[in-house]
Amino acid sequence: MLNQPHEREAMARATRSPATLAAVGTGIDRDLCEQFIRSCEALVRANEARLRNRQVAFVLDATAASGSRRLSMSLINQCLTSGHPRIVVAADLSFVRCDEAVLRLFESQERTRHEKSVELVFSGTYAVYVVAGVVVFDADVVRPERELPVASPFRRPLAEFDAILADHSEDVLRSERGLTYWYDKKNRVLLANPDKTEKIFHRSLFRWLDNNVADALRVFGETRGLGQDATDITVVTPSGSCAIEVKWLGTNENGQDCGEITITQGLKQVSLYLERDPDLIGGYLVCYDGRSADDNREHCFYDASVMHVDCEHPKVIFLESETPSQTARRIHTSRRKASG
Amino acid sequence: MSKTVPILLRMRDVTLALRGAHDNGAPTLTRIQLQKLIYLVDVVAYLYSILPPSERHRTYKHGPYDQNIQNAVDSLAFRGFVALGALRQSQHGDIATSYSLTPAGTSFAAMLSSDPALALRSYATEDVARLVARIGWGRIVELVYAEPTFVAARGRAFSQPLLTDDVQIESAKQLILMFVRSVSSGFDVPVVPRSVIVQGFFEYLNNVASMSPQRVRQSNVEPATRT
Repeated sequence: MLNQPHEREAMARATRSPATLAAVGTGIDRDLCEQFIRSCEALVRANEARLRNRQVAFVLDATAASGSRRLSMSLINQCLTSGHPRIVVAADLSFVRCDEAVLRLFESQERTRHEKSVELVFSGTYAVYVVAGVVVFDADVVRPERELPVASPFRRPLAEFDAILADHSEDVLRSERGLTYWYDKKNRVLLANPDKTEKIFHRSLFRWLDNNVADALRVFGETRGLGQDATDITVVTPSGSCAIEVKWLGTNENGQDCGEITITQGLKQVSLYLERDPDLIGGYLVCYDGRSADDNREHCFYDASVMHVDCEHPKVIFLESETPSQTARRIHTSRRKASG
Repeated sequence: MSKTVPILLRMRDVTLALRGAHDNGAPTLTRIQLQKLIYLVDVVAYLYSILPPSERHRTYKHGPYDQNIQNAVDSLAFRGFVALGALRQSQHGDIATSYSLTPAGTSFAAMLSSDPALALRSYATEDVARLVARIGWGRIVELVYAEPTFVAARGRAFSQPLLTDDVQIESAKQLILMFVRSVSSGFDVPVVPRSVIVQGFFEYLNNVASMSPQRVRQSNVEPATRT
């Protein structure tokens, strides 16, 4: 099944279609979802210059009848100026009402989960599609090609998970090339704001997997509270789904400390997912280690008895904070001090 | 089972298929298009709680083929329910024609779809015809050639039955189950609506047909210039 690359790509496109996912998550007719999404994208494309970097969210009300008052840029401006950036519309963009709301991703996920609704949150022309609490897609609607992983040299099947993590570490994490995560690099203190420390690594890994897992039909991230019941990242492949739990070790700017025990806690969580969800065929725990190099070498023990049979051994990734020459200088100095 | 039963059942399928095509922008269907449309309806039939046909399509020269369909359409034409278009001979010597419903056939189709026992088949045919019409009637053969059961079976042997709902082999049902599992992951939903599954399946067929290396090569070849 799906033996040819173009068959896998065809399946991935069908299963990642935002309209399909909106219909599944909300129970609204797929054609209505498609019409709503296309209309919103067209409106934003047509008003690219006027929208600039303003934030606005469009919500589909499938029960609303087509009305005479169509959504326009001037109507959007009125809503934004009055502090009501969440605009509820019918599928053909007939205006229903506008609500006061916070447009952060967390709030959007909570709202859509509670209402079983679909919400497109635009920051300028960049859109995040949230369906019933799940981020199903994100892209720039004017320049979607910016996000396309065209001929990525990093594409690998999920079976090569270690190599995928190594690519991610090398290309994104090393020297903070693609992601800022140190609050105080010298003292190895991790960032905790504006997002939680866990979210910083979670989002980066999610994006990397979404772009680079060759056999993924769908990758979705549960970016909300990252609680016990929601897997951090799930990768759906033709042979089944895999859950990936993301943890961090060390100290963050809020003074929160995560030590060795976090690894065992993470393994317990993965076991719980694997026991509860029959669709899951594998689990991974990835720990980003912001502790000292000595701690990384000597304090990475975990209780293997809590590991589920389908869970891989945890991957602990050491976060570098020094260049090789700085490390050499530090070792040299410490040896000189030791020798008196 | 009497030999006439499969043909009688296919007479129902042919009538509904021609009506579905007519209502969705294809007033006539060629012999191959008719075979393919009924094949696609059979593929998704289980989603509408319809039992599979007693005799399946088999691999043949131009894709899946069921002799009972040809017998059924001939029988309908003989009885005045189906009109034949102009007969013509292809380069290979095959006789080609097109089929459409006569007024009597249209009344027969209305009668069939008003029967509660046959309503599900009527819905399935209508849905498939609408989705094929969206993609284009001219591409129906490509869609069938992208269907996973046929893709897996075509290289094996001639005249193989196409068991599209057998999950033990590479089949459409296996692919549909994979699609459902994938799109429902992460959502707290008990079932995925049938309409979404059928639309998603046709989106897959259309994607495969558009992205197959053969088609990409064809679209890269520039048309010859006339001198």
